[in-house]
Amino acid sequence: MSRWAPARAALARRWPALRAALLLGVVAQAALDAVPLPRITEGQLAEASLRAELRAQAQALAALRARLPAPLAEPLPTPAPAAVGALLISLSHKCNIVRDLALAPTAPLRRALGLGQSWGLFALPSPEVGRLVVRGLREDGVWVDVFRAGEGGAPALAGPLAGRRLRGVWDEAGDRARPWPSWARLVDWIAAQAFAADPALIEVEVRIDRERLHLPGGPATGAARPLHRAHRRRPLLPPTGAP
Amino acid sequence: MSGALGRAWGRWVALTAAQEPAHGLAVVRIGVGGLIFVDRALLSVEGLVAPLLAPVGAGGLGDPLGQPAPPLLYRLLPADPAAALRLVEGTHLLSLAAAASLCLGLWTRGSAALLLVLLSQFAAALPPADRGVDLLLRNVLAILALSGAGRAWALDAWRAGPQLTPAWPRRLLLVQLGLVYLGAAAAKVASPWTPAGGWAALSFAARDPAYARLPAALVLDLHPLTQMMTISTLIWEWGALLWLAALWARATRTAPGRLRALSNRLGLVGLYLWIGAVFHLGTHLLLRIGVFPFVMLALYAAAAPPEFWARGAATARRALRGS
Repeated sequence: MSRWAPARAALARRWPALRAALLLGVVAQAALDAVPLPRITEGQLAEASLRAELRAQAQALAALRARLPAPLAEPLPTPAPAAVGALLISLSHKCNIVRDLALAPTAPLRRALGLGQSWGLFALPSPEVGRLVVRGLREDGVWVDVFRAGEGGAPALAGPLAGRRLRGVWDEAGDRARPWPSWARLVDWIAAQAFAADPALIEVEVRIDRERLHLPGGPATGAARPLHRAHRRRPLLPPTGAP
Repeated sequence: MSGALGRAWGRWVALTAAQEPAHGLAVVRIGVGGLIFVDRALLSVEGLVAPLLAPVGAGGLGDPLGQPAPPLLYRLLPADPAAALRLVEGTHLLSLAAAASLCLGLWTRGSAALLLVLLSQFAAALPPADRGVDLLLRNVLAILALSGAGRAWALDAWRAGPQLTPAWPRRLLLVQLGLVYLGAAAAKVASPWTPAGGWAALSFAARDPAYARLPAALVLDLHPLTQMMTISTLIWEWGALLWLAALWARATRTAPGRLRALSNRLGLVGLYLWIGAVFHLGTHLLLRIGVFPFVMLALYAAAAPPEFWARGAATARRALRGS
């Protein structure tokens, strides 16, 4: 009999309880990870859609304060967007410290394998939306729509740009005052696809049109505001001015 | 441990030690493997392998080497852009082969583990392109890699025939499903999900050009319907709490308790999922959200009682022989 046999037998006896404990730990860690505690920063709260959301939350808080008796209303924060924002940043910071500590044992594994429990599923739908617009300048001097998100366009671009992966790259650019570095590379890629699909194009414009959605009875949608406008000329052609 | 806590612990140990036919896990394996294969094959069809997976300099949009902790795959790439691109394309083909192999149940655990590692490397290439469904698929692959999903309806099971397998991976998949719904429900605190915002969440989402499938004017005309759908979504997602309790009641059906008996008599587990299937197909018709609804529906297969699939297959075989 091997000298490890007794240890193996003891482990086999305890294995059902050990496995149960391990799985309970996995479920507990996953549940804690699934609690939506975004790491809110001042920079994020400066984004237009979040500023609008803060104003709405502050108004809802003011309405709640007005309905509550004084002893209950007093502890609530001042219903000003800045105060609500400061409270959110502070809460988010403290809660995340506790959660990070609790999740620390499995953090390396989750990082290495890209595991996690962050589920939004349209958590922050905003009336401020961004529409990717690609336009092309033909040799005859006429600008034509090559692609408009939500409306389609040239087959070479419509499939990839409406697909979930590339959409992730351009959609978030619409919420930002300045796009992230991959935006310029995306513009290069879009222009290359557009030039390849239509030999008559000599220049391509890519931009995000920021639009405000309205609700029935609300003020009508205003004109779209273009953001992150970028131009690419067909290689070997000198640059021209924007239309 | 004694009393109620002791009894609950005893039931938990029994649940995690249970064995069952592997057909439920096999259906999830086939569905998830097939969906990953199709999803990744679309990258090749749409010419997105280089832009999404290659590093900048080799035709990629992302800069994985510029990250604080660059993924191993990208650290190993040669400096020559053409060679780097070839290696990325080869790795992409390997992920396709692993997905097909998982779907067929060939070297099942190894395929799931390999696919998990490859997808986690690709996820870091261009983080904005890594969506919630990609995260969900990696979580599911981690469970499948530890499961006996290859012990039924799999090439691995060809010689050995169907065998019993631990039930806990299938149950862990159900917990994962519940966490997706509960996490999403708890995150929905923005004003459009509340009366203060006029329950406008789905109206905004369905008119967002990034997701819209229907004309914006039509969605606006259907505003009361989208308001009802917003409220139903919240109720249904929070209902996952009840669903997880109903799963526990079903798994411990021999234990006493009136609520447990009522939940089992009403078939709450199945009822919740039928509503869920309508919800996911409805959101697929309303919004362009890619493969997500189908991945969720593939996971629903784990909720059927373990014998359900085997019985269904036997019935289908008899019907085929009869015809």
